[in-house]
Amino acid sequence: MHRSLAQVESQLLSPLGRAGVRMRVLPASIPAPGQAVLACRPVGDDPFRQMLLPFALHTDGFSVLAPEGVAWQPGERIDLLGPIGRPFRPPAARRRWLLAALGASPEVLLPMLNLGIERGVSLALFADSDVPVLPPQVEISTDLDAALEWADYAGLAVSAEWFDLRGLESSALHAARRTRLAEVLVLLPMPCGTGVCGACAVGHGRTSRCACTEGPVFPLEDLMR
Amino acid sequence: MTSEARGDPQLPLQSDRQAAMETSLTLSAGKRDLVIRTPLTNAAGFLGCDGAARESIDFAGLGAYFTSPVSLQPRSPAHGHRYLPYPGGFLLHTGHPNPGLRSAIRYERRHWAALPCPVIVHLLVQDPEDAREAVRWIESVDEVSGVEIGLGEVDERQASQLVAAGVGEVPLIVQLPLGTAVSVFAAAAEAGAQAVSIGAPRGVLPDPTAAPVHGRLYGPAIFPLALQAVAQLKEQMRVPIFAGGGVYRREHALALLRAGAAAVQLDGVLWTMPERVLSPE
Repeated sequence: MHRSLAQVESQLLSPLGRAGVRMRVLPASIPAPGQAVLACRPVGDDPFRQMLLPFALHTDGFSVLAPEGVAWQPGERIDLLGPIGRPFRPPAARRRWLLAALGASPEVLLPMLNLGIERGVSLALFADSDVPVLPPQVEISTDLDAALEWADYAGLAVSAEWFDLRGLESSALHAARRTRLAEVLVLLPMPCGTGVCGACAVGHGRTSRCACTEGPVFPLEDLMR
Repeated sequence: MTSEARGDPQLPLQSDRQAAMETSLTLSAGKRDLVIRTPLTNAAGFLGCDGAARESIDFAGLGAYFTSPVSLQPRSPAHGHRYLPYPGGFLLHTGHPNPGLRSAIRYERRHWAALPCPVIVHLLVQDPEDAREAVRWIESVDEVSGVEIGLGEVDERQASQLVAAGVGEVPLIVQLPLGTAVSVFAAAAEAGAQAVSIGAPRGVLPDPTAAPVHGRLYGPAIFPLALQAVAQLKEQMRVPIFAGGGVYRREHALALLRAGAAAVQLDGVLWTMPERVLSPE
């Protein structure tokens, strides 16, 4: 697993006004949309690594929400593990994307929105929580079913709590299958990042799989199978 | 059947820091010797089951490799919240998902054979019959040098029964949770444990919906409790002690060794900055 050092470049606010930090890293350590990195201080006794999902990707790093209870200062070095797992992989031929945040902040989908803008696809965003100010190319959808009917690709982000409550029986997930190609970012904490601990297991029994090694973005069909 | 522990469990009491990191502990059962030359190992569950963590951890620097917990039958992940961080540590409640002992042996033994340190399989057992059967399976696997049986929260009588059932032709380490280690240590040793390891204490944290989640606690906040437990167990010093809990610095490990531990098991630090303990000064 790739480890590297990042530097906290500055403190900033996320598009929804939450405390964040911009990190400068080597290109190999920049996550693709949907991927996470696990971070801790190289000195001190950080008891665990913080899972970071960028809300913005830059050519020399990324920006993330500041982890709760942690005050990383500009100039500080941070040890990174990752990028972790499988990112979103929207095929180039899909031109109508619906991105949906269910129980999760839509900020984790902003790198996907930017990817869609770069590719010149039609974009819609659905969220069941606050939505940040978005570029004019992005339509905000308030009707998930209608948006899924329209889309030929769906990229979903679901929180652990949302997934626990509804799981694979969710009507939203079943509806997303109508797009014929949907991917789901399952936002489970990933303590080890290497598939060792089983804390980020998705599903049960012999079909369970770890978000950190086989996700965190899963093809919906694989999850439902 | 014979079983014994050789070597001086107090060897690491030497004041020299480097000397404290050199040990020679041999646990023998039947025709099998478990020889531990470096007093640092992983704790079960922190480096997986197949040694794939070799990509990031130098296993040659470990005195032994403890596999993730394996049960006779396959186990699924626990439902609900399985990981809850808190200041100073984190709670894990994974349900110990694993493919079952027979599958683990079938698929992992070739990986175990390639490791540069002894392999100890951590067994999850429910009752003495489980323990007996699991150990019999391990006895047929030459790539394994020892077993560690996790006892959970048990009383002295239960500990005696489980340990006695696990005594066989493979060196046996018995893992006791930090919370009960002192009270059942003697019973475990008398029943045939050749060494005792101190497992994570259990605790409860509320999940985001305020529902209680029970699980194992890890993190540097545990370290003072682990050090205290070793000091108390040293009074009874019947068998070597594998101490662990909250070791995030090399000086933590040295403190446990000086307190009388024969070896130290590393847990959460293996997921953060393992070199802070494993790298020589």
